[in-house]
Amino acid sequence: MSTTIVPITLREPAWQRLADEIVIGKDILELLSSSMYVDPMTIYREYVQNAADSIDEARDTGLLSTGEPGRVDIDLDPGSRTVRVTDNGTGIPFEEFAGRLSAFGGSTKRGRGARGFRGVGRLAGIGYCQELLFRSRVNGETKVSELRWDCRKLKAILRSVDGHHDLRQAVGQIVEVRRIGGTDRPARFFEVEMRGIIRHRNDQLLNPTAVSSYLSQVAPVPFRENFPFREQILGHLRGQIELGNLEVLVSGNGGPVRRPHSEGVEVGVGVIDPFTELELLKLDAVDQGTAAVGWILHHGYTGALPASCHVRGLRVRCGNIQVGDDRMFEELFPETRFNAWSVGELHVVDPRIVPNGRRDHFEQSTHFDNLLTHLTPCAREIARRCRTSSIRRKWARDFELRETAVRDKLAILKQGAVSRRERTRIAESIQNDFVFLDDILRKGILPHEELAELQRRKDKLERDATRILSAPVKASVLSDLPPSKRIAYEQMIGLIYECSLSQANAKLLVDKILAKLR
Amino acid sequence: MANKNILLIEPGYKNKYPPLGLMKLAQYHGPQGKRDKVKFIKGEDPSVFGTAWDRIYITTLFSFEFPKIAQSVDFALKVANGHADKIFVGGIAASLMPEHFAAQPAWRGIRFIQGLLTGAPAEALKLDAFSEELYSDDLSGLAIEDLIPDYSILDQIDYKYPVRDAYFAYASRGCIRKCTFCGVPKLEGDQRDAESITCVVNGIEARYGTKKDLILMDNNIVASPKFHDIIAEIRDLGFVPDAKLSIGRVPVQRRVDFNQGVDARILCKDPVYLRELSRICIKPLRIAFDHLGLKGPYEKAVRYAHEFGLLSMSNYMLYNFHDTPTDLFERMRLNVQLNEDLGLRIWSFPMRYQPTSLPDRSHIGERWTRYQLRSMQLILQATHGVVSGDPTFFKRAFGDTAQEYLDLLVRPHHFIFNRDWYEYYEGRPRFEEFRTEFRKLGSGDSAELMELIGNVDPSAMKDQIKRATTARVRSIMRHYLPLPKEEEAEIWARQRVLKQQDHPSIVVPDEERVEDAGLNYEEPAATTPKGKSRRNPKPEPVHA
Repeated sequence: MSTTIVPITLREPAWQRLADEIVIGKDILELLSSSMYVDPMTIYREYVQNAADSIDEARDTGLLSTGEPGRVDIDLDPGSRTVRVTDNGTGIPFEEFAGRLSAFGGSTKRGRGARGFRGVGRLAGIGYCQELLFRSRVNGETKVSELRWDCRKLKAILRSVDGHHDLRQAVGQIVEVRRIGGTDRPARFFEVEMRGIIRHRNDQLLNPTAVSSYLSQVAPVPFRENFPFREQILGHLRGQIELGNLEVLVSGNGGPVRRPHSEGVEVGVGVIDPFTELELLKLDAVDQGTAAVGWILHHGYTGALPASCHVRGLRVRCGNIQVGDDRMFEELFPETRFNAWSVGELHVVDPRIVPNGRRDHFEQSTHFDNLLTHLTPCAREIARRCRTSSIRRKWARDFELRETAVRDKLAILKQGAVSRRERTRIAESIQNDFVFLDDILRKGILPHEELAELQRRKDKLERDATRILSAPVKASVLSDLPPSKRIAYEQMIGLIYECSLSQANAKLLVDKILAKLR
Repeated sequence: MANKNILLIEPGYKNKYPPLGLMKLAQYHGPQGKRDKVKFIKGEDPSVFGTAWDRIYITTLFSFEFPKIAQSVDFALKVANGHADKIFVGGIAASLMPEHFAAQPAWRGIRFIQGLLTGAPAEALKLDAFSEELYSDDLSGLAIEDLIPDYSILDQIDYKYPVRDAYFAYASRGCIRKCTFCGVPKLEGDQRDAESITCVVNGIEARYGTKKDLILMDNNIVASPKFHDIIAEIRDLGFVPDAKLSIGRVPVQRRVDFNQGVDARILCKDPVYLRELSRICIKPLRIAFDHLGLKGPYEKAVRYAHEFGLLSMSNYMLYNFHDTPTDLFERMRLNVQLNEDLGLRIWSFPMRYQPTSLPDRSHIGERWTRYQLRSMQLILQATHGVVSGDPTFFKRAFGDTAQEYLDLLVRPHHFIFNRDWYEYYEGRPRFEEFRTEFRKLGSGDSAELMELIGNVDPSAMKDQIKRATTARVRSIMRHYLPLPKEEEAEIWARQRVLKQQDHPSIVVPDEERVEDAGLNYEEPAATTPKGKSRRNPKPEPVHA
């Protein structure tokens, strides 16, 4: 009998695609609204971004003439707790209106170079109001299309534990559409209205100043006319990116919103640290081409800039809308604190560097990584300037303190009330002080003008010192006293100087004593 | 995709040969390659902080240089602002102990490349196309290993490699042997022929000018089936006996150096090998003599070499492996004898064995002690790492017999360190006192003394005295206490006056020296606490 061994090959089971098992639950709604937009102010960024894309399209299709500004009106009504954001972009025709405004993802804007393309930004308001309405009309329509999200009902559905809601069912219950008359409304517009805005902290969603200053940092709005580096920066950006600036008007805030940059930064009450130098940046992409362009404004680097200046930190914009906050690039600095000392902005040029869905950062990719790599030396250079400036200030302060000390000592010599020995000691210590001052001037770290000024002051001080040291000791009241008494007084006065923390105060005291003796 | 910023780093250790791997990477990225901007630094150069580096390559050499390597890797991470994915570490140490590199949590994300950069560049460098990494699409380019090394990057640094005016090439890679002390089997694998050396030499010459010497870094050239062809090729390249290069006013002697040595076990089989080697300007002929078991083949090979007029030789002598101090002495002594018999000039370079996967030089062979190794290091420091074949010199440095050598190895270290002082000058009475006591030791006493001093830290010597069981051992242990610093400084100062200059009695060209004999290696901090380390210039040179 013989046995044959037959090898058995185990085959790996094949993968099968899913069909009906896919469930999209109602909770997606929460994830796409309140979970995505944690900072309430971002709802303004989302609606202004949609407006900007629509205005760009209107301009491209000739609906908006070259001279006519793209306009976004933000109407805040604290009485009715209502916010309205209206733009003069293309609008959405009624046939597409309900479909586009109740869809999740699947934006028609993807791949067309628009700022938004994921089709979720319009849901930003859901978490922050009781009713969210969209209205629009396109050229040729008589009626205004209107769609309403009932956020109260949505909240109830999201909270309910009984019954199974999938996304489609849930949306069906909370979204309604209709057509209304609109004789008083523009021929072409798009509007978002949020009714019953929730009270969030200091009610900043309804505070025109807060909204304006937020948008001044984030939205695509022009620089102020009086910003000295405006033309240079615009010249540098031209040809690389389309800024697509908008006229954004916030009710209750006067004129249109402008970028916050001016001639400098207010670093203390009424103290302006002026911008002294503009550094223009062009960062290479991974392959040929440019990843980003930008600029850095150098100033005195006297310390961290206050948040209230709204220009603090290295920031980044994509489609001329800020991504993330002022701490986006903090990690690139050798010490993160130096980010708060800087003023600068990057505009992403490479379309492969893509903001993430929350727009608080970028999708991780080799292209974004490359951007960080190329920005790092800039951050290191800023840190170097911060450190140099702080060392420079330390030396300048040391110079001043030592200069005052010399003046105090000269005053004591001039007073003529110390013993000969003490006088020699003081004269020697003044010589040491001059060596110290010379050392500071030789450091080579102080800027040219400041150095010249300090040199002038030191020369003057030296002349004064020579004059006082070479002058015969002025006869003080002590010289009239009998020698033994004079010596005792001189000893006592010497002790006063030796034991006092402030030589200037000691001198005042000795002056008084001498006056009494007189 | 040109104009990327590429940083090449060689850690700040002292080494003899330029970093070929980095030079090939420079060729890959450089003007005739990807046209990137290549910067080469040695050690940590803070000026690179001002540039955005698209990629950073670090080479590594000996495993025991790990602390210096670690310093460079940390530096690179700082330069790359923590972007570990931009950093690539390759070379010998990274290949020999990859697990040691991979085990550093701070280095996660850095790519450690083992072995040679053969295969397409994107594959050899493990580039990720999914992440669209730079050059991750280079799947068909010439292997980086096969590129002509870019010599021009060597001008970017101040460090001067002792051997640099040379063509560096391989006629073969790998080795037929699998010696356990050697890193080659792990690094290069089995022996096979490499690209034609003529192509490499011509390529280097065309781009970087004529070089004086030809350094062939083959691990075992005589094992190559193409040995005869290779010698013919070397001759065709002009490296025949007495070949001279006339570039400046004075023509200079050219030389061929198989710098990894040749295998005595093959050379002894047939005189034809040495006859062939004598037909090129080989200098020096390096024959490895790793243990006394090779005595027969070694001696025969040397006699063949002599027969064909190859009189200038160098030896690598491994010690601290499975050998004993006596084994090493016999090997060194054999060279002296061969020198005398044949009128040769053989220089030996004892090389202290360290396992290839140990990140420091702490290994102590099973038949050596820590004390003996330090003694040997002190003797070698005095002889500048070389064992001369001159009998008088040898006797003075290592003793006349194996016993004398063994006695020398257990001498108190300051007697070895300041040998002339204690043997000829004012230190003599103390040394004589020691000698007298040493002679009186019985065999049991000697064993106890070895036991007490063998593997302890010098700072613990004082406590060891208390452990001595006999008065004789206790007494002689006094001599082993390290000298007070002041006394030592005084001796050095007095010696300087006594002997105007400590000129070495032998001059070995750097190019002939062993790459790293660990002569300046300081034992870890325990022996010399920080700030108190001995900063003596050098031990006294040995004079014949």
